[in-house]
Amino acid sequence: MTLASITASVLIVVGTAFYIAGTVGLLRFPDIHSRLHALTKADNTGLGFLALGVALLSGSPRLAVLIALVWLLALIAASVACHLIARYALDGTDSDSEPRA
Amino acid sequence: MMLLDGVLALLLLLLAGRCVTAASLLQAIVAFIVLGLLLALSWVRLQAPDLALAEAAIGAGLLGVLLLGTWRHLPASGIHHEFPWPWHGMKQAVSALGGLALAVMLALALHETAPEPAAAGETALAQLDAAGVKQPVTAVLLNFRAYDTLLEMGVLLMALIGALIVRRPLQDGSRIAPATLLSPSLARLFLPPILLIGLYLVWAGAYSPGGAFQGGAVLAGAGVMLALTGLLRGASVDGLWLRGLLALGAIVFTTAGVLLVPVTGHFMAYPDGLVTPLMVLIEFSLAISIALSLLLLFTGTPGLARSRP
Repeated sequence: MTLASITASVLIVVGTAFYIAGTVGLLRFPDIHSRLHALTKADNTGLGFLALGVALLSGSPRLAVLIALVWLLALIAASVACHLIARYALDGTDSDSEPRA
Repeated sequence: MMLLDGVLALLLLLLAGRCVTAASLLQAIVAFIVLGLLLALSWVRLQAPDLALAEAAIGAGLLGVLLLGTWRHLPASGIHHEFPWPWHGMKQAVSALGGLALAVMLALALHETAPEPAAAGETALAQLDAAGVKQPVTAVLLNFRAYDTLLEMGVLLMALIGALIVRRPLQDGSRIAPATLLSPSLARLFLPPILLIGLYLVWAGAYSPGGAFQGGAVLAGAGVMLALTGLLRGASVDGLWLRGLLALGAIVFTTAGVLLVPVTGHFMAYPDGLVTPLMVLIEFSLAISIALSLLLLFTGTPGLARSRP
C-alpha cells in the first residue's frame, strides 16, 4: 500500500464516521432543528472527507476537480434545502419576510 | 464486495416490501424513491452503467417527483377506500397472483435460456463498426433496433396525451411561486451545469454510457426544477412550436428512415458515410422530445410559460 492509498482510506473511514454520527443524530435527536443540525454537519463534512479520499484514490487531477465540483454543488444545495426546511418548521412559511409574531 | 452486494440485495427486498406495506402513501413513495436509487447502484454493480443512469434519472428522479406531485393533489380523505365485501381484498389477491405468475415466468425464463454462442448480442458487437457509434447500447437502440425505439417514442407521446386528457385541468399559475428568493436563485445557479450535463449525456451516448433517454431525463429534471421554484409554469395553451418539439424525435427518426429508402433500399437503414451524423441528429431530436414529454407529464399541462416575477 502506498502512502496515498493509506491516507485515502483514513479519509474515507473518517467521512463514513461522520455519516454514521449524522444518522444517529437524525434518529435520536428530539426535534427538527437539532436533527437538521446533526445532518448538515455530518453530511457536509462527511461528504468532504469522502470526496477527498476518493479524489486521492483516483489519482487523476481531472477527476479530482470534478469530484470537488460535485462536493461544492452538494454543499450549496444542502445548505439552501436545510435553511428552507428549518424556516418552514419555525414559522410555517417559506417566505423571506419576517415570521409572524 | 460480496458483502456489499449481499447488503444491497437485502436492502432492495426490504424496501420493495416497505413500498407495498407502508402505513401511509407518502412513506411508500419515499421508500420507492430510495428503492430506485439503490436499483441504480445495483446496475452499477452489475456493470450496466447505461441502465444505472436511466434508473437514477427516470426511476428515482422523475418518477419520484411525479409520484410526489400526484400525492400532493390527492384529496386528504378518500385515499383509503374501503371496498364492500366481494371486492374487499381483491386488490391484494390480484397483486399476489400477478407477482406469483411473474416469479414463475422469470424462474422458467432463467431455467430455459442457456446463453448461445451466436446470440444476438455477439452479432451486434461484431457489427459495431457498421453502426456509426462506438457504444454498443446506443448502436442497438438507434440502429439495430431502431424500429423498436421509434415505437417507444410513440408510446411516450401517447402516455403524455392520455395523461393530459385524464388530468383535471389546472388553472394557470396553480403552482404558486415560493415567496423566497433562495430557491429561485439556487435554480438559476444550478441550471447551467444541469443543462450542460444533460446535453453531454446525449452527446456522450455515441461512445460511452449515456444517450437520448438519460440525457433527456436530466434535461427534463432541469425543467422540473424551474417549475418547482416558480421560474417556469404550466400553461393551458400550447403553441404549434411546442407540439412540433414534442413530435420532433418521432418525425426526424421516421423521416431519416423513409427518405433514405431510395439510397439504401431498406426502411431505417443508413448509408455508410452518413451513419454517425445521422445518429447524432436523431439522438438530439429524440432527447428534446423526451425531455419535453417528461416535463409536461410533471406540469400536467399542454403548454409552458415563463413566470413573470
